[in-house]
Amino acid sequence: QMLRSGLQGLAGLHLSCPAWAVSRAAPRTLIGSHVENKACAGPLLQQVRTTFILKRRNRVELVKAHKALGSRKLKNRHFIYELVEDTNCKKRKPVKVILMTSVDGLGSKGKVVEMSPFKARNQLLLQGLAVYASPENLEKYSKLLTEASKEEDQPSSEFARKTAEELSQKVLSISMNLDQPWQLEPWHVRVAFRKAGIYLPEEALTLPSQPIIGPDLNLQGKEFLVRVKINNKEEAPVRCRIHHFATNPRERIPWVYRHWELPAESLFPEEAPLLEELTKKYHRTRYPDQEEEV
Amino acid sequence: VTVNMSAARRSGFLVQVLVQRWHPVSFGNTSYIHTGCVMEAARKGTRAKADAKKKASKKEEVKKEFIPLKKRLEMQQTGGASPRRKDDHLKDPIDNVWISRFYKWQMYSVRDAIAMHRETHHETQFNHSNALINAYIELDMSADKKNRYIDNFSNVIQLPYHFENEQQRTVLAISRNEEVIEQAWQMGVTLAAGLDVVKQVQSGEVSFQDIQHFIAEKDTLPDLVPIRGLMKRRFPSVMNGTAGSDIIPIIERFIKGVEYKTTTDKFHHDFATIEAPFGRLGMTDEQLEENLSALLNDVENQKPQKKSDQLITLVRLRTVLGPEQFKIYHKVYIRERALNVKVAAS
Repeated sequence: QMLRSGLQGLAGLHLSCPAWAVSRAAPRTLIGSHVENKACAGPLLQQVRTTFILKRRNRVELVKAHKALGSRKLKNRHFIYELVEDTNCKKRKPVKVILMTSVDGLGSKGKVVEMSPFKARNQLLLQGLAVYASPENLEKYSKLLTEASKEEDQPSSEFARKTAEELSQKVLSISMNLDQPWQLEPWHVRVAFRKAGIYLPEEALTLPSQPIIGPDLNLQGKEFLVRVKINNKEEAPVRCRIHHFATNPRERIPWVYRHWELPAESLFPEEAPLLEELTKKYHRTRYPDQEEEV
Repeated sequence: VTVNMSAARRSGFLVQVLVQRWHPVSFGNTSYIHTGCVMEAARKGTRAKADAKKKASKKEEVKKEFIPLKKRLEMQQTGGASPRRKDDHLKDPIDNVWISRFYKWQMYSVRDAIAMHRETHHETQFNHSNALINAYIELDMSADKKNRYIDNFSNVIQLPYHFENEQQRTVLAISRNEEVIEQAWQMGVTLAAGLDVVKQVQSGEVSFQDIQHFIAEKDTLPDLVPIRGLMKRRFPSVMNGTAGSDIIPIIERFIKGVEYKTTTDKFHHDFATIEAPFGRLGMTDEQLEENLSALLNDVENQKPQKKSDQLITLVRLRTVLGPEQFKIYHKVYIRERALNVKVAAS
């Protein structure tokens, strides 16, 4: 009896059927005559898949103890609700999935990744790239990680392939002195990369076989290739250009606007075809001769 | 009562009764419309009610001063997001080749940072192996109380290892002693004088406008009071560190030392930066580390009582040439706060 009275005294109300969820366009005070409201059997511990949590504006009167609960008649005023919460607006908890194949930016095969449920469903689960990380699945696919490391065509890390792609699009400008004699060494290239925001060890670099000695203004603006090896696995060719830097500001070579978007001559003729390919691949390349024609 | 039929026909909606009253005084006193309500006063209660309503609905006219559009738009500016960089969402790199904009700023030791700067300034590259190395310091200027901030401050500090910093200051030294004045001239002050400088300024021979710093002996201070107005905030004082019994070390500090000053952001008052040189790339690592330590401790000492947290939030080492900046572990260099003479706000 206490329970019943407690129930009837409830101001809060949960709509148990999401099929009748009221549209978002409705004003905050809702008159839902088409909405069913079920009285909860016990204290509000039941899980309800609701999208809108409503509250009655007008209190429902208690039914006399000797009368049946069913004899409670709800009037029009009892069907006026106020919106308490729209669960659509709440942030969703991330969900764990096990990757079936290596995915760039997320991880290798067998890795357990935590993601927003929408992204997980649309990007991975629907395409079969991943599976929910339920206890059964975790047991079933526990050996994936070890298997993956034995495979050869797996990427060295989740970001390695993306880094390789981005590096192949880059044009690196190596500043060398205009007055002092120099020969291009791996550390010069490493420093140039660092100035551009790319950190790598000297072991990852492979310079061209022929030495580049300067200062030589014939080298200015000409391209050559440097190969970068990421994690000793992924390889990326990077186009490099020598820029002569004069310590005296008056002697400095004028700046060419976005010189990396313009095609350049190849320093070594054997590298020319690959350089041309990379130039075409870069989406921002401009051909000023063609533009002039147009 | 005669009815003006023609008038009635002419007017569409109302039958206007022309009432001709035999009025002995006003002969032509005829009215078409009952205008009595305007001429007669309403009941007292009705009047009182109308008055009360009017008073209640009356709004105080706030006199708005005219602000031109440009200034109004400027006042609406909020400065956007804080200039302080947030990289909590970024992680540390895992590969041996990585692109820095996707990861947290890496922290280096001072030695590593200096070595990296030396690489770019090598003869084969920039060819500037004795370049100045600057410390870019970010500060948290908020006091303990919410929405309260510390003022801008500045100081001239003499670092343990002297180097040619490209800073020049105009200094005026005042002393009673002839020898001291002679020494001051040799050290390179803009002007060194005795107490006759008071009369010189008053007569107009000497101008105080261009002089940035005033140093005086403690005993001379009362005699300088007549020209205090010309110096205003620059007036020497013991608290400031610009007056003392022996002014030679003070002069040395101002001539040889490094000056730094804070620049607060226009909109975000808790954010301020300092950029000051603390050495040259030609110096040894130990010397540079000691200089940096002295600079950071001095900045930290400027913290007033109303702030209990650390003043310095971030330190980066950079040079004039080249875009590189290296974040360093600055907390290692900051000692426990010593009870030094506090330099007043600028």
